[in-house]
Amino acid sequence: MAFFIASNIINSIGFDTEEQIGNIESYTTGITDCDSFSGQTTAPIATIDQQKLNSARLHLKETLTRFETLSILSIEKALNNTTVDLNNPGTLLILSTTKGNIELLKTKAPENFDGHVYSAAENIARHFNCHNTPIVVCNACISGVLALLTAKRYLDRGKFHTIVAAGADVASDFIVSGFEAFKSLSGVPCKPFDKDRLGLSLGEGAGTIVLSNKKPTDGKDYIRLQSGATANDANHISGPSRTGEGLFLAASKALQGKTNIDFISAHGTATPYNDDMESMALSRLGLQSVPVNSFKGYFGHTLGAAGIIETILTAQSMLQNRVFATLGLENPGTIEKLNVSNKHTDKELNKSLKLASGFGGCNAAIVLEKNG
Amino acid sequence: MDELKNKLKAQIIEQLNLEDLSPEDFESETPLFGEGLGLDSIDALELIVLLEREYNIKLNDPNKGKEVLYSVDSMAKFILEN
Amino acid sequence: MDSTTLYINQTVKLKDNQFILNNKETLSTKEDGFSPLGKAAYKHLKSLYPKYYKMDPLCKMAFLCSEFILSGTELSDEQKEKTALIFANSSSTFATDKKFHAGIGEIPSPALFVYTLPNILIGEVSIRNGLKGENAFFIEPKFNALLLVEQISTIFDTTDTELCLAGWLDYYDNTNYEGLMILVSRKPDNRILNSEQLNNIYN
Repeated sequence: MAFFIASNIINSIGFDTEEQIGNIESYTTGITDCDSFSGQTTAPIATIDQQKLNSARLHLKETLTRFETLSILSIEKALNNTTVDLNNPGTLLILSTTKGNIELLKTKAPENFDGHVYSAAENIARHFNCHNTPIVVCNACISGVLALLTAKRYLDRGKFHTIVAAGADVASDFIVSGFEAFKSLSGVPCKPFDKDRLGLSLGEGAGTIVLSNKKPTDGKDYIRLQSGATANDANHISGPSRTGEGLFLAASKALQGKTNIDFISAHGTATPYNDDMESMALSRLGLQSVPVNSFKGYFGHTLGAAGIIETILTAQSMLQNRVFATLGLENPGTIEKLNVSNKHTDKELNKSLKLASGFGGCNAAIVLEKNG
Repeated sequence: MDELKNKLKAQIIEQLNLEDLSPEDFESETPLFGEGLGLDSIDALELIVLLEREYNIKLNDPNKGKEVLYSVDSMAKFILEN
Repeated sequence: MDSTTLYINQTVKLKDNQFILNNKETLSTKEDGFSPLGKAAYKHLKSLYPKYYKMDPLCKMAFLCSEFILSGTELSDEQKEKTALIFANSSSTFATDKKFHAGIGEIPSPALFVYTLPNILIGEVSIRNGLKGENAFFIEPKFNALLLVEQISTIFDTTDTELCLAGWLDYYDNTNYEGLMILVSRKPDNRILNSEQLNNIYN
């Protein structure tokens, strides 16, 4: 069993979940024009306010990279609401990232490069005095969802009782120029599922969920990670399958034959291909009339953090019985029609599906249940 | 024009790592995508890089891209026009 | 939780300029480095797969290891949907990262960028063989048999996985690389999947 007992989000629209929800409620986006990357792109990017980050990190004594700072802050804030101690042998830290400290390529000669992902993981683990070596998931944009699924799988094995799953990625010249080379960046804040969508908006962020194998006993509503799966399209290394094959397979396995889903948090990057592919997969699953949204219009595609941040927001949606709008959407236009909206609506949500897809043809799906 | 087409063929082979292929193996009117050479979407982006780096021509409109990158012939024509 | 025994049916090691299939040296080159070894292996395997040449060295390593293991095996569509791919390394995609980074100031290459994610090697092997099962890629400071054994066991226990290609593929540069790929299933064999066995094979 895997129950969510605490969480935190840090990105362009907030340093904790409450601030996130406040900005989401007011249809505020963190995707803005960005001078820092003007050499690579003119596309807007959702960066985290540097001054806010500086004051949030004043208490951190070590020299840390931006990536490590974000990760540590997010984990700290999530743990603050618990009695969980990562020094306990029954706990584990699982990290999720696509490029970690890749920025260090700019400042370090190759022979002195200490920006390897495992080094960053060691630095983060040292800060929390982790008893167990952290596990690092590095599987493109499904990393966050896969980290949560891995957490559940380890909790079910009985080896650990509490797992902290944290994902983070920072905006860097490396990542920005890569997506620019793919011509997949939108010149305006992204418009998921819109007929005029132009591409994705990058964002930086960190998200943490603390999972426990014990059901919460504080009398409040809680969320359980019920099931999940991954699958590969076996089609193309960067473009998604036109029939949504891998996502269809992953979601089918995650749903285990049950289609009583109340809400779907899509990957929804707003690229022409991704959104069409998701609509195909959802149609094949018979879920095309279930309310679905993309959160990426609020804070961009946060890569290694996306799966965790968006799962936290899905959980919040369920706890508040509220389907949040797809920000940026004006006129729906995907190959298969979807139940999308650009207005927040109230709806009882007991069971949700979170989807993710990534380069390499990978796809992931998890099912969340309330009070189950 | 022929010299440009031969040069283009060699550049395409190198840019796209088509190691088993040589310029004699395909015609300048062979479609580069789909039925002909079977190039994919990443190859298309790399050909755009090729045009910019070797010929200083920026191709930003994806729809124009399909026309220009149809074959070596169409690429050569585009280069000469710009 | 169903915990039936898992067996290592095939192994390929890539080390010291050699491909070693099931403990028997299968291919080697006198020349030092992965580049000549990879070329020799590709020719030896007669894969006839032009996409090979576009791959970065890490993906070439994965492709070749999987060709040694899977060539001659006919998998049904159902088996392909139930074949998991679980891999780890320490370098992520360091060699390709450096190459891509070097081009940022001029015109960044999309073909290079796509290879700056380690799970692309899973994608390449999946595409080549039509494999649609579970995927996972992990980063570890060094070869960790326990992680692989636990991940593989969990996948078999909790999903409908019937076969698993797994391993450790690390590439820092042409002379600093190593690989181990295994094929795991419930089909009884000499080697049971456990940490001790996997460490023996690796070392």
